[in-house]
This record gives sequence, C-alpha cells and structure tokens, in this order.
Amino acid sequence: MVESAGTTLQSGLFKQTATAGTDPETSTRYLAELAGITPGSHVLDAGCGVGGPAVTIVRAFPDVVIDGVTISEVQARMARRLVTEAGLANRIRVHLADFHRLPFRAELFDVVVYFEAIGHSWDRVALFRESARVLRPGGRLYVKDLFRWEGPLTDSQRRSMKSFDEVWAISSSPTLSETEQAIRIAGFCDVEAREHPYIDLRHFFESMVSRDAAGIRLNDFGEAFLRFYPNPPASFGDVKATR
Amino acid sequence: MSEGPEYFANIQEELVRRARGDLDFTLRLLHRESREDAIREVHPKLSGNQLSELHARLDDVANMSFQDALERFRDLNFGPFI
Repeated sequence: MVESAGTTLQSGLFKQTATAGTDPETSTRYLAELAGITPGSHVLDAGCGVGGPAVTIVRAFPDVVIDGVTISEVQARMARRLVTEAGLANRIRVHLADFHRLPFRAELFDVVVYFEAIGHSWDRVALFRESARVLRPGGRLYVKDLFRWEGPLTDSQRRSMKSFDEVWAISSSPTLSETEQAIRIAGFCDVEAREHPYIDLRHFFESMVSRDAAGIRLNDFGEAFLRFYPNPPASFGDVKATR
Repeated sequence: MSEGPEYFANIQEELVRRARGDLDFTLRLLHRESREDAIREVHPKLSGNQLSELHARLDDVANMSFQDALERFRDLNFGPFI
C-alpha cells in the first residue's frame, strides 16, 4: 500500500463542501486548520505514516515544526527519506516509537494530531493520557478517523467490521462517542465530536489500480484489499479537544 | 440492452448482471486485454459492430476514476462504502 498510496496513507480525504474536489495536500491543509495549527506551532503527528501530511503542513504554515511518530520501521525510513528529499529535515523529525509511550518531555507540543491512527491503539485512554502529558496547557488535540457506527450492529455488520479491522490491523474500531469519552477520561476539556459530512475516497481507490492505455488493473494493494472489501458500518469524523 | 444508468444504456443486460455480482468479472471488463474473453463468455455471438460499440462504452467506464467506475456498478448494488 505504501508504494501505491503515495505520501499519505489516509483513506478518506476531508473536503470543505460537498462539491469541492480535493487531493491529499488540500485535504491535509484543511485538517491542519481544523486542528488549530497556526504559524509557529510545534506539532506532534502521532502515527505519521510515510510523512506526506507533515511535509504538506510545514510547507503551508510558516515556522511550524513537526515531530512525527510511527511504530513501523518501513514507514519511518520512507518518511525520513521524503523529509530529506523535501529539504525539510530542519523542521520535521521522524521518530520510531510507540505512541502510547512517547519519547518527549511533558508539555512540549502546541498541537497533537492523529490522522487515521487511533485504530491502532490497544488502549485509547492511555493513548490520550500520553497526548495530554506532552501537550502544553491550552494545547489542542485533533483526531480524524473512521468510526464504527453507534448502537447495536446486525450480525452481518459485525462481521464486516471485524473483517475491516483485521485487514487494517486495527484492534477494534471505536465509535465516535467511545473516542470522545476516552478523551474526556484522559483529562481533556472542550471536547467536540462530529461526523464529517464531506469525504472523498478517490485517492484511496485510485491507489488500488494501475492504469495503462487499455484500462484498469488491480495492483497489489487492490488485490489485497478489494477482495476482502467488507463494506464496514463506519463513518468518517473528527474530535477536537483542549488540554 | 440494459435499462440501467446511462453508462450501461448500451451494455447488454446479462453483462451488467454478471458484473454486479462478480468483482473479477467487473475487473476483466475494465481492461481491454481481458475484456473480449469476458464478453465472449456471456455473449459468444456478438457482431463486430456490437463488439466495437461495447468496447467504447466500457472504455468510458474504465477511463473514469476507479471509485466512479465502482460506483457505476454500485448503482446496481455492487460497491464500497461511500
């Protein structure tokens, strides 16, 4: 997937209006605004993937510095290469670490973002407590993800969700309200959670195919993913909170 | 001919029905190298003209974004979450 998807591994790109087109960079700039990133912010990108969003954000916001954390050696290597090639090694640092146990001192960051990353957490209260530890008082937490629908699911929906979680190595996709609750328990205030109404999945689907003059073929990612496509009972949303 | 959405207007109904329930068949229709064999499985006796017209229609679908191409099939109850 890393080779197919380019510099972001996010599946759903947020857009500002129903009719707006978007691309990974435009979507990331919008996410950064939603997260409260401003010029000069020190940002933690928790679950930074291969570094595309970090590169986009520092290019868009003067004097922003980002520390990115990933637990994947492959992603860390690719992210460091991307950052170096972009000439941004002085503003983006990539760390190989578990985001439940961050290698940073307390109250270091102005903003912590999770872009489609919290599903990989085995303990979300512990995860957000760690976010709270490294955020300065008044700092902002921003979570963008795909959330399991609220309420009881049918057997078929439960099976779909289980397949989805297995394909993406997710321990258990949380609902929006479960996420909101975990953030409150971790000590955050001004918690705002919502489903996001405008999503674009074109980038995600396009990453599943190779094209030539004769048409479309599934690539390795498409082969791995689309055949197990479980149509999960889930929607994209975000949660904002203040330390 | 299919009575479905515009992109299927001149695509034989049996092809559309098969594509709706069979991802592999759908993918075979979206690439010219595999398309003709897929079509012949369902309609072995199409004329040259019919085949040319079918290629043009399926090229239109294959030239869309992959999401759009899948959505066209989703309109007929196949497709991903969106």
